[in-house]
Amino acid sequence: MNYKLVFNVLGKIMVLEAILLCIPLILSLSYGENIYLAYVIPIVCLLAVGIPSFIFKPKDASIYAREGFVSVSFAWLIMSLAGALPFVIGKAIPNYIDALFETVSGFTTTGASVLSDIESLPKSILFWRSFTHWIGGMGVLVFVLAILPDDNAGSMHVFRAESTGPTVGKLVSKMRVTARILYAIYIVMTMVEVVCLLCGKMSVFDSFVTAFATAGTGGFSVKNSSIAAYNSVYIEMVIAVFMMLFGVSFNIYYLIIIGNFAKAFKSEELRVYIGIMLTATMLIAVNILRVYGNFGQAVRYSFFQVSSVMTSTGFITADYEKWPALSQAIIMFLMVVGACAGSTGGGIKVARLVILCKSGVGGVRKLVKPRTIVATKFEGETLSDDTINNVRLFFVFFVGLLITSTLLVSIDGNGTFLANFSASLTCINNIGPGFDQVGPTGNFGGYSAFSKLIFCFDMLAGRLEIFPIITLFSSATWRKH
Amino acid sequence: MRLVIVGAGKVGTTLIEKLSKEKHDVIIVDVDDEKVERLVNKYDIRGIAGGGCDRSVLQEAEVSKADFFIACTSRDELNILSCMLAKKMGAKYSVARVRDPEFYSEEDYMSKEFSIDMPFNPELRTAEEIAQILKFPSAVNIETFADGSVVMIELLIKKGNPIIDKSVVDIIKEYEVKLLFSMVERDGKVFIPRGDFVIKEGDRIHITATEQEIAAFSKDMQMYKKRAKSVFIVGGGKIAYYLAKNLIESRVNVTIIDIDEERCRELSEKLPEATILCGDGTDQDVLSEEGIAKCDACVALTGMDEENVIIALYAASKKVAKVVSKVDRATVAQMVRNLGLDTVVSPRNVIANKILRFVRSRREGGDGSINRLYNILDKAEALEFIATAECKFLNIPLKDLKIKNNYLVNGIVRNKEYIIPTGDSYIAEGDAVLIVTTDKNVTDLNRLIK
Repeated sequence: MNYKLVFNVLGKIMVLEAILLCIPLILSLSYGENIYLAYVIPIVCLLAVGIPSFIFKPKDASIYAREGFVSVSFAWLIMSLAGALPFVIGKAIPNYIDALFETVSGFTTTGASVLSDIESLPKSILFWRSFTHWIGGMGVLVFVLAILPDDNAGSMHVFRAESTGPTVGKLVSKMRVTARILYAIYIVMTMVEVVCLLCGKMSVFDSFVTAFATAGTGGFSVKNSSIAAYNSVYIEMVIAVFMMLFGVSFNIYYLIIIGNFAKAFKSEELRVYIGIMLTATMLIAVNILRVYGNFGQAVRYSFFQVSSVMTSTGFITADYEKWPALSQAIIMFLMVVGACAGSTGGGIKVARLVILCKSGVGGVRKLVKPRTIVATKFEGETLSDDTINNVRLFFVFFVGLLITSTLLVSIDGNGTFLANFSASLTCINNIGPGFDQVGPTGNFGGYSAFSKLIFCFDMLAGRLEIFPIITLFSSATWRKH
Repeated sequence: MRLVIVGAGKVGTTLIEKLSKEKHDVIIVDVDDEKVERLVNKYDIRGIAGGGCDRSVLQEAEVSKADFFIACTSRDELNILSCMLAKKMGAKYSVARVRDPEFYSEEDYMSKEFSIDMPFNPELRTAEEIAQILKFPSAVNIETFADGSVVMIELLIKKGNPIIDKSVVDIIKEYEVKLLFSMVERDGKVFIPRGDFVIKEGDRIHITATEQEIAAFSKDMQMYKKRAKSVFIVGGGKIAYYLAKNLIESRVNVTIIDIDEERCRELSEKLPEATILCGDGTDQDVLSEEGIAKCDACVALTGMDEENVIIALYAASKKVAKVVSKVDRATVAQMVRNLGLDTVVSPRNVIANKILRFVRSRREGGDGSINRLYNILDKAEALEFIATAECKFLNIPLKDLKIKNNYLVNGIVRNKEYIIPTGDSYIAEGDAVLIVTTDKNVTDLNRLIK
């Protein structure tokens, strides 16, 4: 382990967060809210620790896989620990554990909340809460890679640890340019959504925070009843479509920008993603026809909920717990699947699911005829055994984490089994709402502090796709070179 | 600049290492996805797993926008074909490794008809470099500039050398020599010596002068060795063939030993003047039986770095006057230098330097006048420029120029005559100017002044 290098990276992250905290600080001053200290104190602390570790450059600046994993994991942890301070100091969420839960939920783009009355909070606090989604969506270290003029040898390890999906590739040969392209696409799409929402007569503040939450596929809303509060088909459809768009791999958008439409639309993952989404929408629409009476209304609610849950956003316009069991089962299935690899969404990812299914089919063929050589193909290319093993390993850890987490949060006896299980699932997959107590109308406020910390761990592990966090528990990671 | 490199072998990897340091956009294409992955992890480049002749792969690598297309896989035909393809797709320059003598003998024809701007043959270039050293065995290393009218040689200062603990000014006064101390390598660092720099034991000094001056100087230092008249080559690969051919042309007795009988027969057909032996060149009994101790020089050219090092150590212990070993892995090369084997040749470095020079001299903004480039430990470089009209300080005495600290005007060659630069010297249009610098990525003579 190259500790000096990790401290250097963490220093950069702290300075970056201090800069980002200035935005809600300016907002709070302009709104005349008397809570500027809530931002000034964390900013000062972050700069005091961050600048020294940022300035001292390590002699050996080479990043290997473990340095990548460790710096990414700790970067997210520190971001969350510091990001919770404004909530506590601003007296919005007085309990630090609650505030931490809310912040981790924000950065990991989960959108699960402990708050029951959101609308009474100061606007700058609400802004910060939603802004964490936007920062966490694309990744903080990718942002650092985009702005710092460093020699980026070895940065691939950092990029891989923070990006989503089983295989991660650069768009162009320079890491910095790749990171810039990703953020440019991200910013432009967010702005387009803001404009679309403004056209739907949403207020400027609400448009921005809603767009942030959609872009990061987060799900924090500034209304108590989420998007249902606006009661507008136009706004719902804009958000549903943008949720779907942010659940698509950003590589696809890059291909479209450089004019390679053929390759973009040939993407196997994209086709499966759209396919699952449309099928689920139709199935649920038919299934809930009786609840809403006409097909138009059924599609409206079905599409929004499907898009929201599958992309792991977690906005809500209808209480799906009142739907028939089939629809609820489909929602649960979508929670597991998640969005596309290389998007801002969470979950297992469509790519992994396709690879798992295909390798499963191949495995069965090999069982029947042991001498068969099976080549598993994805996106037209044969996958290496390493990639397949990696996907299987991910699935094993995912199931393991889900079961362990359900077990641990059941200790305090505050929730039903369904609530505990779905809460664990929704946290690991960064979705937000689950079933029962944590369903669309409930929140996580009822859980004990211990359970909340478990959920925080779930969310971080889920956002970083488990491996970076798991490696922290290996003694081999911590040995010096 | 954008470069596409096909083939992640030794040459490809060395090129990537050097080019990515120079902040170019590099894309590597290789069929072995593990190799590609390893390189992408280590350097800031993009990798594509696929064949170099696959049009869709080349399209994905955006060859049409590439400034350079470098094909360095192990297969000549593939390199030639992929270069033709790349050129057709719009790559600006193409570079191909072509090493089969059958192809390479038609170098000019090939570059014209197959649209390869720079065919290169690592084995031939390495052989040329070894031949050069054997002609002047006092030097650890030798580099010629300005068509051979001036040379820069590397000398290892061993114990008992009379110039130890003397400063550069004193040495030049004492021996009355017309030469320039260009660089001194000490403990892995490279210095550009000023007048008061004191030479220590174990230094590797690089001096620039004409061949006659250097011969006279090395006689004064009791380092002079006569040019090798009989050379023993262990390993009969391509380099050995080219080297033997080169040496035979200058009437040197050549003995080649190789373990493969087939290859020996082939060599004896192609090189009737050489003595070809079939036997195990790593076996010390065989070597001493065949009279290695009586040769002027021994060159170890087997395919294994380790074997070459052991053969070289054995030859050195038998007091062979000049020992040259081929060592390809960079880390091993550094270790071997510390073992006291003076001359180590690395084909991949030889060729990487050559390609690098080609790339740099065609960089946008550069005036395209780099003639030679010689790289020392990746820490310093000796370059030869042709002064064009674009040079901003023509005909101004050097003492009036503000030359940067880490630069040294190492020599001016006018009408094939070497001028040791003094304060009154000036650079005229058309001169070959030698520069020594610890600066990186120099492409332009104008970088010399502040």
